[in-house]
Amino acid sequence: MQRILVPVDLSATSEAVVGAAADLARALGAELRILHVYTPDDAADAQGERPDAHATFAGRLEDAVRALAGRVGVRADVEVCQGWSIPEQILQTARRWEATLIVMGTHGRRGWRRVLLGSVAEEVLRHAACPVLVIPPGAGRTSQLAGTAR
Amino acid sequence: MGRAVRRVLVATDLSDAAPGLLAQAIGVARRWRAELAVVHVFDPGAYEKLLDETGMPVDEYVGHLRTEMQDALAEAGIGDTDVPVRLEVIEDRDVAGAIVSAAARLDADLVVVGARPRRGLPALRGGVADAVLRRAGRPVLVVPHAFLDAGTTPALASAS
Repeated sequence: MQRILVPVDLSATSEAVVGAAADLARALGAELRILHVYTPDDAADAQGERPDAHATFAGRLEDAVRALAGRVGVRADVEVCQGWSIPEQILQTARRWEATLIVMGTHGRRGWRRVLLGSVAEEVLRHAACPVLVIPPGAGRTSQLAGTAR
Repeated sequence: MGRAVRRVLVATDLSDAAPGLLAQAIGVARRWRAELAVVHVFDPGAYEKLLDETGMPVDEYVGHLRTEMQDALAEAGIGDTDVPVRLEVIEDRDVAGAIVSAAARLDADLVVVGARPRRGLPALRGGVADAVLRRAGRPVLVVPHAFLDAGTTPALASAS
């Protein structure tokens, strides 16, 4: 059984990436898991806005990922976890879940951190034990890799 | 729903990992009944060095490269499939640029490249895989060499 892990940053491009991964999963008969990683900074920022407990913040993110899956119309496992290094959390989840493929977009890190460290996708594919399918912005399910050729 | 995968481009450096990488690409092409374009980019500087040493004409050099590509394809099991294949040998200093241009020219729905482990600060490493996925503007499947060594079944090709 193939296992496709889709890390999303919940940005505008996430829907297209999940769409492409969902088409692939259907075509391959694969299991699909959507992962969102947030940093402790994200949690602290959110708690500045609202006096939410940490668990509530993670729960809101999980709802957002489920809503994303719903908009794309795909049944998938949803996982939300916290870590300082987003690529490291993605790689750990891929290992633990024994993913056979990671599907992700090219976005996900802004400003000087991207210049210094490369994108999250670049770091993931540098250390991943499995193949990584990278979907650029604008190449989602409407135009490109969308596998249900029947 | 988007269109199917009709054309897959795989870029090979003709290293030891070539047959494994080609097997991945063959698996994808077979799964989607797509055409497979196998591309090898060679550096003109490397050829000039060879020319100085051996006097080999460029046609003959390209012929050798095509034979190596065919051998790698045979080792990858292309003979067991009916996947239509085209071979392209391209001379260019900018390997990633040549791969991206070929993908655009052939209107590839997917580009498959291998990735070898690298060290140092990522921004300074500038691997071919990174450059391809930054510039391709189309889906890129990056297959780590360690995954190929493990002899695993193609990632995008099960449950046919």
